[in-house]
Amino acid sequence: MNLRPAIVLFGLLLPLAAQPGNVDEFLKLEPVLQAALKKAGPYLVTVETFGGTRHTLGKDGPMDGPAPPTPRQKPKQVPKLEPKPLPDELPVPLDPAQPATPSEQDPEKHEPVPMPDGKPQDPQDKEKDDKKKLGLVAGGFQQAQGKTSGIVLTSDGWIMISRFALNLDPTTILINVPGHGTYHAQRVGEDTSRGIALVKIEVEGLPVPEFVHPDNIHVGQWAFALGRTFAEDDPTVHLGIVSAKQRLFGRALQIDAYTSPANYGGAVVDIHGRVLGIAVPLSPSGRNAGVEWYDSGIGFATTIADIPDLIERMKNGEILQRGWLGVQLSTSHLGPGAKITGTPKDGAAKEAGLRKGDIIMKVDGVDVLNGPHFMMLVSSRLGGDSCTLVVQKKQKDSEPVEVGPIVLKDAPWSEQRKGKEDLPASFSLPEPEGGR
Amino acid sequence: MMLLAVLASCVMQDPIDAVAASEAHRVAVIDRCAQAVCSVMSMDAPGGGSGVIFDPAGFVLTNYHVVGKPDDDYKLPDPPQPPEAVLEAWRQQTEGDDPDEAAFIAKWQKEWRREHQPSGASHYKNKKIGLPDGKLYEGVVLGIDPGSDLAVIRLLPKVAGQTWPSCTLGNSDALLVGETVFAMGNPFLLATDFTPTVTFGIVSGTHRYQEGQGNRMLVYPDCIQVDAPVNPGNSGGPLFNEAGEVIGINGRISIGDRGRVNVGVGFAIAANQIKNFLGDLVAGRHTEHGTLDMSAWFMNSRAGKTHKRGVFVQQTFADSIVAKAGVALGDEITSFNGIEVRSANQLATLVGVLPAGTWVTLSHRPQAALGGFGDEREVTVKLTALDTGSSRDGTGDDARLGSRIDRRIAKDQIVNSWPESSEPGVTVQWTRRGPDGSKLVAITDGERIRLEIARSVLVSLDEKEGDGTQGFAKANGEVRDLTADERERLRRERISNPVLWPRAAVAAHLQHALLVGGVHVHGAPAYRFALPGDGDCEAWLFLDGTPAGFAFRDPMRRAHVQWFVRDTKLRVVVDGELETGWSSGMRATGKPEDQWFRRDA
Amino acid sequence: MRTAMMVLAAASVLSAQKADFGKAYSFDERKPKTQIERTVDKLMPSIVKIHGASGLATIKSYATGIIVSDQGHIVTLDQILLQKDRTRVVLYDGSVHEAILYPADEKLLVRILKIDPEEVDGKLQPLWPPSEEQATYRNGQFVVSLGNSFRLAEFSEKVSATFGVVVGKANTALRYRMADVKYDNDIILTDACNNPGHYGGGLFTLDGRWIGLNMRLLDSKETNTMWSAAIPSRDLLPYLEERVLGKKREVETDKVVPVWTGITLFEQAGRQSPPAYVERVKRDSPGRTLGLRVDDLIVRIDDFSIRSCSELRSVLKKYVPGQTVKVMWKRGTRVMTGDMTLSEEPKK
Repeated sequence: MNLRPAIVLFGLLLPLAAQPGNVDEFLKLEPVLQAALKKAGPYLVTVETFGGTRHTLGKDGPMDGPAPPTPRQKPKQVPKLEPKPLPDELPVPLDPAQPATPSEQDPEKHEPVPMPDGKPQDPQDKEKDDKKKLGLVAGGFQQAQGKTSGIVLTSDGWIMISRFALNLDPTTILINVPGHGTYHAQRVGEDTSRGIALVKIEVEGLPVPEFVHPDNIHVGQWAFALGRTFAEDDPTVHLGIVSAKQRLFGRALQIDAYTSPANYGGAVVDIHGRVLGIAVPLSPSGRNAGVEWYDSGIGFATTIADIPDLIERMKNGEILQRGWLGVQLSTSHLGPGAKITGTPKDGAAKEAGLRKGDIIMKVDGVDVLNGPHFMMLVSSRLGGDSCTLVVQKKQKDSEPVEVGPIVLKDAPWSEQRKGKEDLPASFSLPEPEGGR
Repeated sequence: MMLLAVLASCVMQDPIDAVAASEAHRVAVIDRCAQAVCSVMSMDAPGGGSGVIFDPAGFVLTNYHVVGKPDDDYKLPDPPQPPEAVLEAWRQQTEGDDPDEAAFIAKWQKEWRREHQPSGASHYKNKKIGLPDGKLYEGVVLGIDPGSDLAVIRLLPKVAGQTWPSCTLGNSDALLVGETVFAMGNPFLLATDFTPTVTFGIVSGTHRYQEGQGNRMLVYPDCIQVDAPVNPGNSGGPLFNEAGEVIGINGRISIGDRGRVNVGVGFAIAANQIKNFLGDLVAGRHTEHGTLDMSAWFMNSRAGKTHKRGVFVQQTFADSIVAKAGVALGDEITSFNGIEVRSANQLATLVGVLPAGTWVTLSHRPQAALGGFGDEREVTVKLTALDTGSSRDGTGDDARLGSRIDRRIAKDQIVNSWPESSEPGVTVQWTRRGPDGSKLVAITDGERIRLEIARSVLVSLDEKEGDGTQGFAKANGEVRDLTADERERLRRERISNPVLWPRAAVAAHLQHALLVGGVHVHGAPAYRFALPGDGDCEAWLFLDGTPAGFAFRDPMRRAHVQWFVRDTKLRVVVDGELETGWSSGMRATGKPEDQWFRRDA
Repeated sequence: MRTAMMVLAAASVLSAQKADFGKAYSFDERKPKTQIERTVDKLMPSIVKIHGASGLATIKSYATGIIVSDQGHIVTLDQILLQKDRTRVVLYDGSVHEAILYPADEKLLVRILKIDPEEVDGKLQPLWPPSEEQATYRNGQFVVSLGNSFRLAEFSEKVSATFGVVVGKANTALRYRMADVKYDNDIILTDACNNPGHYGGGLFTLDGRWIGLNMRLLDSKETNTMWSAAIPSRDLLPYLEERVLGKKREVETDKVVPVWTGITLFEQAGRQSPPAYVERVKRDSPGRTLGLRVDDLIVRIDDFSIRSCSELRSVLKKYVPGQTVKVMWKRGTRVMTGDMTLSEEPKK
């Protein structure tokens, strides 16, 4: 046996084999990503809409959750502190091309802002002129009528698209399936709380993707957001990871891949090309479209594999809305249970006899840890769903009573954009010297 | 041939398997780290930010601007009545006599206040912290650093002895542009179940200098720029490297024209900077940043002209600390704390991360009268405090936001985190040589201590008895008992000098100590522990438990002396003034020599 | 043995090249380990910071540039106020140089500057657009974008690096705020962020090939969102070859002959941008040959969506008579497609 070539080969292969397991992960990821794209392309469709008008929907309405701040809680005016009378002695990095005035702040240098701590904008806060652009993201996002994307659900033509595509109430919806053609689509059902809608096209033999159940999805895994807005052979790709699960009260994955009209309705896939969810604009308050967060690293992908019964309901033409119980909760009650501070009228809670001071201890047998936990249990449901509560009434000596089943109402707003006054989940800049 | 086939199959691994393996590894690291990331909110006002638990005792790091200013109208709660068991025990003790119960209760309440309540002028209401286990906890605000936007909170346990998952601070100086990082936090308060949002990106820039707001608060002198998406609500949350270490705290973003959403430029406070303030923050202090009281700029003229390329003093005051040390306008600054200074930004970064009161060395080339520059000379100065305009809670050691209980818990945690040493008894001989040749030698075998000060020798033997009579002095040829001052001097050296403590005895030495703050010693951060008794005794140890120095009121010199020690480097400060000319040497041997501790030798 | 010597020689050349710029960055750093770190480290010396005259509110005065020759030529976007005697280039080692300006390319909106190589300590490290095979990129390809976002880097500090993928290509309906992008070839869209100051910097693949020059943030009419994008580097070649290598460039004759389809659209009164419904189709016209009828709704020409009459008009401007386009239209609930050969307007 001629060993020499074997030994030479061995010598060549040995250093390769000796390398550690992750020889640059990104170099390995590139071909894997290309393979995933190739696999996903066939079931990723283009959605084009025509006609319709820009009109706003829905009324503003109270929602379950922390009580809004009472008008008394205005920001306190902290007395302006007298700075010590020292001229600027902080070294200011200078551009030698500019006149050498040490105290002059470079007007071109961009002023970063500390991140605010998420408090609601008090309309009384006066904004400085040069900080105008630091205000809230403009609430009036003008939706263009460009192409969006969709995902094939069944081989006989059920397509899942984003509710975003239907915002303008189009008169015509066309679906282009790569390799199959363009079809007229029928608008059927939708789940506004999840930002998705079902349309039907008349066709057979469509390729169907593999869906991943949320139980098998992990925070930190790769998530590629694909889209068909810019018409070409390959879908567009945005890179990211799964940032969180069970967002929007259990409805969607949060991903940090940029999502925008470029990929709304498109598939968010894993490294194997399987669908984790459908990218849609959403927001927790449910009060606006969530589009103003486009390309911010905060994106949502509604999960599909865990809602087969909802899909059936949508196929039957139902319009599903987020459920609303009608309670305001205390923010300083840390648990156990969720303490009620108010029950708006025409809410299901008030009609069921719940009152201020009651503490909700259980929801359908599950112990309530605190207010936010209660929100997760109830706001994950749809209008028409029911729940049974165990409530500790305000009177100290009373035993907890069972209340229900209470039928949740449809939330009196929708996930749609409301209009110019629309604000994202409100956050404000703290004043550096004071004010809350 | 079989071997070849096996080898070949190993090499020709399907890339997707390798990717899936990397991904699974990352998912596991993120899962572990996420458990220590929390949401930090005000108790009754909406809004909030993020934080990270960096110690199992429940210490949380976050931004100062998430915590906000102290609550002006918050009054500390009244102390409770003594528990019935305590009262009952006291009644039984004083049975028969006519005890004044009210007086006892008042005394007990006074002691409770001393232990539980911070002594600063204004305080914070407890914060509300949500953890990924879904539970809400109350948190006490301990230390704040408005200068560079840091704060530390301690979680109050729901059950006795509760511990929390935590992450460690890594080395932020090891970051390189292009390194992958993860940010975790609660942007836009989307985490209704408090599971953190994880975003991925790379380090876009390191050692960035960001000016502050208003009165020099919230300066980010040495921050990490990342393109991992960071949005309002991420403030105070951690930035992790691939290994799962906290290498920064996110706090700031640059924004474009779209309003306050991320555009790929986020800033995090570097972990190494945070370490500089950790002692003060955990001890519940309101810290201040240091300044040289001068500004510098970078000149870029061609060689051959009067100014060459370098960093020069641009502005300073006649009575600034650097001016008093002999640094003048126009001098070239060459190095700071041993680091070559190559730009004004870099100098600002190097100074900006240090607390007020830090002793630093600066090398400069004085501008010569006839043009050109003189020889390089080194000066040592103490950084003064940079006024941020935020009111300070009183002065000195009374400026506390943390209670004694908090500081004791912190001390216990810190000491427990140091590796235990079971090395056998070592005899340490530490020589300190002062200016004009004076010499101070300290020899100890862990129990007995011998001090040779100038020409006298003081020896203290086993002090377990406590009365200190078992010691002697040798001076002017005679052997005699120790004077009260000498006995006190030995006691103070013994209890506060960690250089003389055997590693195994560190915990015992600090048993009754309190964490009171931090100190910067020869370029590294250290903790300050106050020891009970007279003399303002403090022992200093670096973050890893190695000796960093000590301080006490020296009864023989009648002055407050601070010893800054790092290996063989020694700096001595007497009543706040630097005493130059000190050097030190160390020897460790196995067995002590008996003659050192014998009276008749 | 010879291979070893060659390897050694190559290694020493590489290290010498690195050392040529001296110790540029202010802080001591570890060696790069991952591919991204290595690529960033290798490319940094070729990226420069550019400062122009004081800017206006909407036009910044700082940008980034790429060195393209060892004679000191630097290419950047012509989007900042560059003035004679006021333009300065800061190299990787922190040295500041005066730059002379060359005429810009009007269509690409790029410009070349030149510094004096004699004033540079060490050798410059120029980049050049790669060959055609090397310049290919695909959707999902990893990219590193280098540029001085928000002017965060000063003097010898490194410019910022962002990481992402090639999102896709686009060449339609893109605008700089109010002005249309004149350039009409494909533009590389990316999610590696672009910000003020980043313009003129480079977009690179993971193995360090230069594939794009960063543009200003673009608005897309398709999505009404802002985009980070880059001009493909190979499209810079005619301009680069002209200015750097001195090659002559053929002048394009811009003789535009409008196409004619024979279709008249129904312009709904009172509507801002009415959909493209057909009102009339002239006899013996391309539209008639295609088979279009009254009330048909034209929805697509080739890959361009047609959502309004004005959009149909602007899309047709991209073609010349003689070209055949794929047309898609809706008749009732049916979707129909066909080819239409555009012609010139018949002489009356």
